[in-house]
Amino acid sequence: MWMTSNSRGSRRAGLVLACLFAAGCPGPQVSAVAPDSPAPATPAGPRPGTVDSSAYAGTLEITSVRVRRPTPELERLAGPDFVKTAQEPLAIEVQTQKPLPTDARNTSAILLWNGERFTDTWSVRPNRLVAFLPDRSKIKDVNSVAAAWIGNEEASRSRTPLTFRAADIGK
Amino acid sequence: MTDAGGRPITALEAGSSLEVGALHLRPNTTYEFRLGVGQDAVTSRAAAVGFARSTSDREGNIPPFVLWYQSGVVGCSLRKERTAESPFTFRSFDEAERALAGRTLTVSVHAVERDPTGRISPMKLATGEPESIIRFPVAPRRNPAVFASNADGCLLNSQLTGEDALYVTGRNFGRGDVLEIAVVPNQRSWTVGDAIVDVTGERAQPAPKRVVVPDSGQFTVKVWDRAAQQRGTYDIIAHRVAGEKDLRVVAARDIISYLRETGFVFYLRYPVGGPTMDIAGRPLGGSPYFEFADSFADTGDPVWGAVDPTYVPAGHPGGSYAAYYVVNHKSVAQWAASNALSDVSGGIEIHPVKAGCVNGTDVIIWNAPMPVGQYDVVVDFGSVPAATAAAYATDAQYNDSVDFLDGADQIGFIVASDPYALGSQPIGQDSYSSDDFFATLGSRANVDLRAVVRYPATAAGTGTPVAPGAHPIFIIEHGNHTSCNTAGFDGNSSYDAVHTGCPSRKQNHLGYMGLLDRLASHGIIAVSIDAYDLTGFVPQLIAERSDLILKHLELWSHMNATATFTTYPDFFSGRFAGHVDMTRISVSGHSRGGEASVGAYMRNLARAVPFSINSVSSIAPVDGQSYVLPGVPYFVILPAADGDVCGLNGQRIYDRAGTALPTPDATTKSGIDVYGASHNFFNTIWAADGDDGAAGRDDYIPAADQQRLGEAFVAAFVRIQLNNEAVYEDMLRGKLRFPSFAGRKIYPIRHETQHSKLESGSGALAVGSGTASVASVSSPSVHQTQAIRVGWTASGAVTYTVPAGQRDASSFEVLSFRVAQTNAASNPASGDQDFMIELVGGGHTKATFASRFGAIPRPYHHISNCTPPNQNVMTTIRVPLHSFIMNNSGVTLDNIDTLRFTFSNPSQGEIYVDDIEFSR
Repeated sequence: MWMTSNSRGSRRAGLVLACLFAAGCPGPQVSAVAPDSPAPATPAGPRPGTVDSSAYAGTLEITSVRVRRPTPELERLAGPDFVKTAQEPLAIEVQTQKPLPTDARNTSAILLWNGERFTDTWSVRPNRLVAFLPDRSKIKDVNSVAAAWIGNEEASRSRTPLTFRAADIGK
Repeated sequence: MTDAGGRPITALEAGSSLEVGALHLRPNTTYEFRLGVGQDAVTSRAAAVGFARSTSDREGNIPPFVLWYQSGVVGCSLRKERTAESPFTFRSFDEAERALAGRTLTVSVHAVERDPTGRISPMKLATGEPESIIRFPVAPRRNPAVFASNADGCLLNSQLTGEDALYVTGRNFGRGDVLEIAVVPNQRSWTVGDAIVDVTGERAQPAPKRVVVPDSGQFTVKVWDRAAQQRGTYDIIAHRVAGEKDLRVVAARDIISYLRETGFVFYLRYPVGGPTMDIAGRPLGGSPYFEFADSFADTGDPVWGAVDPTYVPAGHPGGSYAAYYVVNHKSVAQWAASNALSDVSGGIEIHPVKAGCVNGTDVIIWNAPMPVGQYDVVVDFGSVPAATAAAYATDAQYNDSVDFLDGADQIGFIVASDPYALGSQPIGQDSYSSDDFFATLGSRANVDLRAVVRYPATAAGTGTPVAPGAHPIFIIEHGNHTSCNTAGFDGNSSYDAVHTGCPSRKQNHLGYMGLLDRLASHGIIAVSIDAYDLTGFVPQLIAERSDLILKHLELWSHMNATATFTTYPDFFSGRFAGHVDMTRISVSGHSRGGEASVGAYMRNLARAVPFSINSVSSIAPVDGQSYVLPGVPYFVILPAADGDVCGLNGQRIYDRAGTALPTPDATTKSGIDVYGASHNFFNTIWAADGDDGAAGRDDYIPAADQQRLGEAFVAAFVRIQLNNEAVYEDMLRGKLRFPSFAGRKIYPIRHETQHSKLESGSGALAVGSGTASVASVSSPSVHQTQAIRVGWTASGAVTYTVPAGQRDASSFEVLSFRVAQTNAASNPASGDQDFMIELVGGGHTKATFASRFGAIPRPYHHISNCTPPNQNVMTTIRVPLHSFIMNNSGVTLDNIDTLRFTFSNPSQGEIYVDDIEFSR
């Protein structure tokens, strides 16, 4: 029950008005919704499904570690620049106790080698973590190896770090 | 036309407020809306029952605003003699219904003449013939309503605090309805699900009143005793109780008085007690009663004026009454050239301006909608000193010997639009893509060069010409997510290593289109880059991601000036040549991209010829590289319910930023902690893939709302840095609020370059007394900084004796500190934590409460897999130093010797505190 003189809408408005009269125009109608009632909550539609985060829970335990020259598969992960420039390329490979997450997120598992964080650790499903060393300079006779979720290292660091002996390289 | 809840209406129920908006008007044009009673459009503003002016946006739209309050019902404040002057002003709803029965209302919309000189009084600008006329009937009131009233049920819009009990009257409810009547702090809008926090009990504790509606459907109930009343603005909610397990949240069938309108006001009145001063601001619920302000939102944020008695010179010749004028801002020279006053706010307010307390002088001087612009405020004492409103006569001039001015050498105040709103610039669209463009990028090979672009254009559309001039540039990089839509690729190490063969790439970089549009419409070239080869089951690759941002800057440098970085193609064949202002660059990113934006800034510093990156922002960044930003403006968004970077690692980037500078912390940095926000919802592509935040979390924010607030905040930060739109600094300080994030729990974090620090977390100067204990803690919760932990079990205080070299705080604007509740059980289970702040100077002491200027956040319960599960992010509370000299307190800001935090109400608690500073 409105009309407007806006030129772009006037013809359509006239039609609407004509239809209302043809149908027997009722008197002023009050809204079924009280004018002083709150706006509806934002129509969010169905909430999106929640992503399963259980694989990121708790500490990140590891079961084995080995250090060796990268295989062709590992060289692809390390990248051509590393392969070209590394003096004595080595890959650190660690097996995790539980399978790694199956979704790609921003947080990721990292290796802690003698406490140093390797932020560019690769996660190779189902349960392998891989980091690369260009030479032996960071390898001591006896080395501590652990893993953690980046950004939450203190709470997620392996409760039982592993030990790796330099003498075991390549084994 | 809409009702107060924003729903379209075809008839106005008598007693309701009328809200109008418009679509498809001429863009960026000021319109006058006139309301008349009868079939004819009113021919002049003077003949209108109500009128307002508002400016259309770039699409020609004007969002709804209130044109007629409560159908003209003004209640008991209406003097009888005014009824004859204003035939459509009523004392009661019954009176309005009788007078309006069968009447037609007519709204006409008139374009207002443009005045590019700004010299013509706005109300003298001519209006055109109506461009649109709408007629609609008044319908009898059938739906329920509640309103503040006296004991007789007569409507009240305001009342002197403590003068009389406050009553609430309801009409048209159903017999036997069980209602809970709550008086709640005024908020901009109400939606289903909002919490109902009544404040009518002792010390503002909840004490809602229950009503069983009698047969008449009407009731009047006392809701607030005189002694418990607190100054402020309020809304009234009639909540339909749903059993004993009712959640006390707003439900669809609840009735709310003052939905989008100004709330009920409890005011205070006090006995009457250099020409430029602060005048514009907002009232506070308690001492210091008023906070001066320089920035306001164009909707829902009325400008108040007040005169602090401290400013009034002894023997001032003006009277106790004066008029508040809001005028277009003028420089000192412009004021000297013309002192004529021309109010732009729809009318002057004649009001007491001399009182023992500032709140005896405060009044709303401009209600929304307000046009975006710069304004000054003048208190004009008129032609003769006036002791009453009736005796006042304006001289319409600013006379610097007697009148007061908020403006001239500084802008009195600025009205800004929501940064979520699109600007007036047409948006050009384009993209570029070159697979495997970079043979190597750090450890990766065959990296793509791809991005989507939005830019200021001469016409909207794909490939349209760039708007004239050189435009600043903004680059954002997405974070990590699936890289391939096709199963079997991501997670397969042979694909992960080389990213080849995916038949359908995930378009992660298309997740920020709303942000790009907003920036482009405000004159900024906005680019979202695709880090496809660095995404998926890959390591962090922050160095590569950082360098990719810099590589895109090389490309844009080339497309701006082909002689630079000649290895790049010009994807747009010269379209952007000379149109990119490479001296104004802002970089941003989300998640891994958020750390990469920081990395880009750091690695850029090492370039032989660095790019002019002037600002950095991050949305929920990771923090693997421990970058320490130097003195560059930084902004970070922390989603409190982040299920990915659940340790809110961006807080650590913020905490470290500036700490390595020669003068530690001499940098401006900002952030927001958004309760209920998740990691993925800031990216529309990711949001469609699922919610990383825990199901059932507190303060859940739907994806679209989260995107809106994220876009608003990043756009505000970028426009500050690239367009010099400094008005939005107050938004980042938590002082300026807009509809795009209304109702969300957002805690600001802010630090200013210019500051004088009293506490850096060591506790060295802090002296506890009473039951208050002070301990220095290292990196509490998600932080990477020292802070002090203050606990108290009964009354106590922490006192700082200000070092001699820091006692002159007169060049600073605020006392600033970071604070959060710890996880201690001694903090209030409900209600807020609080403490008193005292400054001592010149032998005088003045106190206020922290809660007047910001809430002390309670821990956010992170119910996913995060450790620790309860996270404490310290928010920054900024207390204007003017608060301590208000009302002639005698405190000397140039000689502050003592700062004291006193803990007594609540009687126990524990908080983290850091960075106590005098600050700009």
